[in-house]
Amino acid sequence: MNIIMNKRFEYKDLPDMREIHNQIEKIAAQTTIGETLFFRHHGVKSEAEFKRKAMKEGFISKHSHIGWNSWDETARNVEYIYRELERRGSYITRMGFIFDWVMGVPEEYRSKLQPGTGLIFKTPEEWKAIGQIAPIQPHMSDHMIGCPNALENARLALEAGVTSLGNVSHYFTYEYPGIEMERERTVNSLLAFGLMGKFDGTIVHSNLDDGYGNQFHDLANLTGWTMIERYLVEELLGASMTFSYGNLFSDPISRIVFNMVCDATNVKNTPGTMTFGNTIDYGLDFSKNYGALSSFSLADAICQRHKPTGHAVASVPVSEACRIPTADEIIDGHLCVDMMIEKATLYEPYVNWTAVEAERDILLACGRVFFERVMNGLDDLGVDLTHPGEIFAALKAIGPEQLETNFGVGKKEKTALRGREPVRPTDIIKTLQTKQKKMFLSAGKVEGELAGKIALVASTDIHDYGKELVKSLCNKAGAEVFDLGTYVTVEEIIENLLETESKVVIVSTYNGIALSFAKDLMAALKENDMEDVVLIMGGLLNENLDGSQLAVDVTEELKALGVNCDNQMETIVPTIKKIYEGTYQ
Amino acid sequence: MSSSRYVVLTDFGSTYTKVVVVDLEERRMVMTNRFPSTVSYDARIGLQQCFDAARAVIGEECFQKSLKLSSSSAAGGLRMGVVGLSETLSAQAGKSAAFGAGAKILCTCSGRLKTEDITQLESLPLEILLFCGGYENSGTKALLHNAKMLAESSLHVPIIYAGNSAAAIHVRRLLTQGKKECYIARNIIPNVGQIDKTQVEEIIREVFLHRIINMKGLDKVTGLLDRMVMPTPAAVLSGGELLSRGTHSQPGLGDLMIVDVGGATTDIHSYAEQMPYDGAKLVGVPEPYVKRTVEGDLGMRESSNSLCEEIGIHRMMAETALPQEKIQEVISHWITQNRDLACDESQERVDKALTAGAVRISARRHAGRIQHISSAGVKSIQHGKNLTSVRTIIGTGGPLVFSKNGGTALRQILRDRNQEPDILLPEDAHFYLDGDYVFFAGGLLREVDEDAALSIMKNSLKQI
Repeated sequence: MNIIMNKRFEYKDLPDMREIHNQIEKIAAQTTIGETLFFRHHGVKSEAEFKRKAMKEGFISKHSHIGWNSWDETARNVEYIYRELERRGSYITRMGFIFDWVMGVPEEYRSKLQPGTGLIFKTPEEWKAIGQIAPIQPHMSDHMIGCPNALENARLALEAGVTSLGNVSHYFTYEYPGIEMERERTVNSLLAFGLMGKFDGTIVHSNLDDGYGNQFHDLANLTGWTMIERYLVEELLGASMTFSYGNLFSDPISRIVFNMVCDATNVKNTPGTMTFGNTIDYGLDFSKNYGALSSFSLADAICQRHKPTGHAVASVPVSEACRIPTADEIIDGHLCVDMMIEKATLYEPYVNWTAVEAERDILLACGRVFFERVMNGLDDLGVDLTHPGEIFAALKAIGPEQLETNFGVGKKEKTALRGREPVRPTDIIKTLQTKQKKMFLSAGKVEGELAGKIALVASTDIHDYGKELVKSLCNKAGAEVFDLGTYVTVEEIIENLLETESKVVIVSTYNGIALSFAKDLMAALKENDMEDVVLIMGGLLNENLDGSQLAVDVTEELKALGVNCDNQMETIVPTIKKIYEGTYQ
Repeated sequence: MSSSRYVVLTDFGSTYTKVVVVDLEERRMVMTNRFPSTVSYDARIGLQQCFDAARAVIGEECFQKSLKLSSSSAAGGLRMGVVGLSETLSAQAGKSAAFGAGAKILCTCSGRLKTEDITQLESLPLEILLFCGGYENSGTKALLHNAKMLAESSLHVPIIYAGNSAAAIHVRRLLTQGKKECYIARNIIPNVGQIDKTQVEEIIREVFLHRIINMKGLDKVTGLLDRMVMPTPAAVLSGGELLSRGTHSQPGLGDLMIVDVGGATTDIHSYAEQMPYDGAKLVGVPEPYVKRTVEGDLGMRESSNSLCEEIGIHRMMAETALPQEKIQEVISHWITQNRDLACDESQERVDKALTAGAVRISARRHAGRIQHISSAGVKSIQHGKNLTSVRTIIGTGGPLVFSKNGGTALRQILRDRNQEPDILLPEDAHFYLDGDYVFFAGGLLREVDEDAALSIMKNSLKQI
């Protein structure tokens, strides 16, 4: 095991858990759960209580996520949606409100961030008003409880009667550039989760797609990851949690399988919040989007008919991919989903549930292996497995790629994207695998073509799929590939060329700096007498030139610098071969 | 745990032979003393003086049963050269290993060796050369070129090769043909973002203990000791690590720095987990938890001239309130009479300014720094180690421990965030002095009883 820990702070210095629990007790004693219009309307004290009743009665909840940036517009639209749906014989039970990222940090730090377009609350009264617009239960998950301001957000939300709060997954992925508060984020998240654990009916929510869910390649590892998050939040901090997913699940059956996977480890029988819509298939063609909406909502409704877990079926307006949807577009979506919920009853008996359960069991068995491997690995790294703060911070320091590479359950395979063949690839990886297969096919027989040749691969930004594809192709061709990772700098490339004597550098770029990066690198190559090294660039070869707001294609400028811009996977192996044979022009 | 109650720990320094006796049962230091060094003519004399002092306190019988361990920095310490391929990767990793093994680095070369590099290496009093470069399975041309240049040189020191293993067999052949003593270690940078210096540090120590130490007149004392354990700086480094991390039963002091100002050099040790500062991207070879650097041009006596130059004569004049001529007169005296202590006010003022300068400059060379860049996604790059979390700074060495100005000098480490926003040093800390000079003893004793070692170091600290 060779793990690089990218620690953001020394987690061994975190307060001990006794101190954390004492603090939780004190804060809990001063906190009361507020009452929303929804609670009064349904005669309940929490959303969980409502959902338990609904599940018994066969009622399926429905959800929408909304993101208007002014309070007046939000309140007006929420009320209109509720009334209009009621008038047309439909309903909505819950709404996710999108908050601005500045809400993720304590007020004194908010001036350091450029406010976005989400809601910003400043007083407890503003928080309380959110549950008093209409009998729709508010759900809060963006920049709430996996962030530096987690504790204050949790307290104010509970006081406002919001009992489902997220996001555990955001702890790992949501960042606040220029504000380094990882220790505070960790302590406050522990306090927030622990505080919720003190009140029956509260639900700690984690949307996996916002966290490592969209970075893992294998659903089996993601299953193990849910066990880790559950261990942290439920076993170590005493709260009740649920998982949300769906944005990146295009295959309707995999949505059902994954719901059953999460349900299998839900020993506290905590009702789910919602299943997010599949937005992978959404594009600019609204008619096709209706098809996507029908496909995922039907699957989610069938799943709830078969074994209710409380997850609301989400309606994603067909205009989502091109603009902030209007209230009427949200209403249209719900009416479509209503039809799917109605027809789901007819489909449910004819689904091959044995096959679905078999898939579930494979993921659960492999997930347990991942869970055990990660826990053993953390133990070997000296992490205290009884301290959730240490575990949270260590998992973040390791990151999803190293977690999968070191502890993943897939079979080891050199040409696989992360060196392992996924047991059940995520839908994004399935797409990439298809691309990889096509690439391998179009590249022809490459085995051994680059034996003994060396190649450096890197990316100028966070996008590493292009880099991974090139790496797998070069590996297949027998090259020694050195991966310099993401956000590479020119200096790093030069220093690594000195160490490896590679004659080729392959750079993937998507962040609109292709030309300036190439200019700097070519100048550095010249300065270091490395003019025989060839730079191959691929991805989005564009840049904002002359102060323009729009990035323009710079392929011709790059070619003029001597950069290889074929931007085609199938030519990479012959190009590298020619470079080493001295026949590259 | 040793079966004997007492451990007698000695250190052969250039100026003194020191002794510390520790009672393992009570986990306390029972005596400490020092005697002028006799290493240059017969190291046994100084050692016997230390042993006699120990006998007088614990008695003959206990002395005979006691475990006797020693470290040495006499005769110039361990002097090394490092040859790598790139400055920030293999050469930096090589320096880190050499410093970690307790050496002083007289020269670092990177890239393809040129005749001038070889001439420089040949001109220096090196004792070991560390030769590294290349990841596993990467190219070997530059390594073989460098091996050939070293083989053809007139260097007569052991060469430790810790580079790409694909070249190891050829490197060994070339160096052996050139009549060089050659050791092969695991690759110090096996892959991108990895460093593996454990084995190379062990080999450096072994070569030092079994080969070099005899040339320093210490072969005669080895029969009187149970073990000559390690070079003194390695012992101090190890003691500091224990003080920082603690043991299973006693907490350590957390992130800390140790500053050792000497006549010829200033050593900085830091103990802290590498962290990115404000989300900066880390570049270069991974920084170890335990890091040591030695500044050979920043010392109070032999290298006071270069130290004064680094500080700048105008600053020296402002800090001493002395004219330039007077400062130069004092410095000229220190260079030739490097055992002398300050005996008038001018000399004291010059010493005070030199000590502060040595601490200030060496800490800034040791610490990492931030470079701001304009790239989407990454706003800053971090070169080197982030020490902003350090809250304990300990001074050791005569100029700090025996001076009235130790605290003032140590405060020079702190950064003012407004004036030096990009230097990764702490803004505030608690300051201590190693009053009994026991860190070497802590490092030696750590091999026998960690808790006793930690206790004697903690008890020796005097807050200032």
